[in-house]
Amino acid sequence: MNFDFQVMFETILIVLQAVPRTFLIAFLILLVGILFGGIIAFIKIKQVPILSQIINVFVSYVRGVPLIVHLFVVMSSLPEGASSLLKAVGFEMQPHEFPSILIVLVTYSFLEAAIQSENIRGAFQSIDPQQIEAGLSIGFTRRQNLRRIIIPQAMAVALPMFLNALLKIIKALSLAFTVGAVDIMAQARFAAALSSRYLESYIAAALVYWFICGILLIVFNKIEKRLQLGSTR
Amino acid sequence: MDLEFIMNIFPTLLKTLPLTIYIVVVTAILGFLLAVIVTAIRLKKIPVISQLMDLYTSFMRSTPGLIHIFVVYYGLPVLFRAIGIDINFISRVTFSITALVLYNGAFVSEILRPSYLAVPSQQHEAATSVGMTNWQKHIRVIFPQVLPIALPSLGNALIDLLKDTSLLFLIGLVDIMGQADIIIANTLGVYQLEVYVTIALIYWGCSILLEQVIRFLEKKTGKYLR
Repeated sequence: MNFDFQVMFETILIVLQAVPRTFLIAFLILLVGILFGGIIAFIKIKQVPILSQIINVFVSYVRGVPLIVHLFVVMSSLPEGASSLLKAVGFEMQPHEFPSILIVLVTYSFLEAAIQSENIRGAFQSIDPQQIEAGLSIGFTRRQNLRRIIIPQAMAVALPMFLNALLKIIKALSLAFTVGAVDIMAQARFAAALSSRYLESYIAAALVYWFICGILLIVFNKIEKRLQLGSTR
Repeated sequence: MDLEFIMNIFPTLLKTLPLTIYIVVVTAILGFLLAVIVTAIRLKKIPVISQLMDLYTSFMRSTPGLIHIFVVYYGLPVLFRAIGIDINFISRVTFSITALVLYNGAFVSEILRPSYLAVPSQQHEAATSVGMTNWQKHIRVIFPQVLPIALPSLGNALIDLLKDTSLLFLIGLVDIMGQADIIIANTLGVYQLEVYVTIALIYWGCSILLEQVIRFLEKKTGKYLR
């Protein structure tokens, strides 16, 4: 069997159809991750007793276990849990009817929250304490201080990290097919099953990923440059 | 959750750990060597090869690890048949290691290059000014300073490598994840959650262990920075 370029090009077109959906899912995961990551970071910065220890264990667990194992653990617990919960409220749902996209969203959001909490914490700690004192000295309330001084500066540090995280999520979503959700990788596997040309399909998927990453990196660099303009004076 | 079942399958799953460790160790060594070569080529800016290496690292970093594994698994036989060699006898372990080495070579090179560039140029000049040859300069002055800079990232790369081995069961390798599939099939899927929780615990334990080893090494090499 030789390498068939025509099949590869056709597969690229099929795979490209999954790109907007993959982007949407990745973006959603990043948003939820940042939201929960922010809460976790807040708890860790304030060193809330007990909660902060629980979070340490949670972050260590999430970072120490491969993503696919997380996916499988959630896949084998969440649908049953949700169905028995729904039954208690009076709804009838079989575990296998549980939408696979929810398994993906829950797993990846947890993971992303753990990762982003570290990034957000780092960003806040990178702010010079004198900036906060300066804000208070001119009569800002704590809230004004947070909104006008701390967050804009933390954002400049954290945004590049968030953008990189988006790329990583898009790549990590390639595992979502194992629980039945459709992203770029899953689309390539569908095409491969139809044409029974596995190598061509996977290379087509690889080229699509490469293309996306290339474009995103150019966009990110532009955004980062603009951020740097704002911080230097 | 059936705790007794977890205790029962724990030894069976642990038995596959040596295969994972073997893959991690071989890949880490070969991947590091590849990374050193790639980094050297890119730092010396050898024309054509250097651009090819840029392309290679960019491709490897932009595509998911799963794709490397599949492309190597389906692609290597096709590539070798094109030049008239039949490699169907090659085991899945070899395919796995090849795919992981290709990825890690690119990934680690992206750690080594900035670490090397982080050593100030005065260090190079100082070493040359006291009459060291290029080789002596690197062995005695530069590398001892590169090591502590690169080590935290290298440690993370090693933990990522351990976690990446969890994907190899998708090409049919019977490692810890492959063994899990067998156990789940044998128990008709009743104990799915228990099996995966056990695996999560095993991976967690391994990661924590690795982290401690790396932290110990960081302390040891930190003295070069002072």
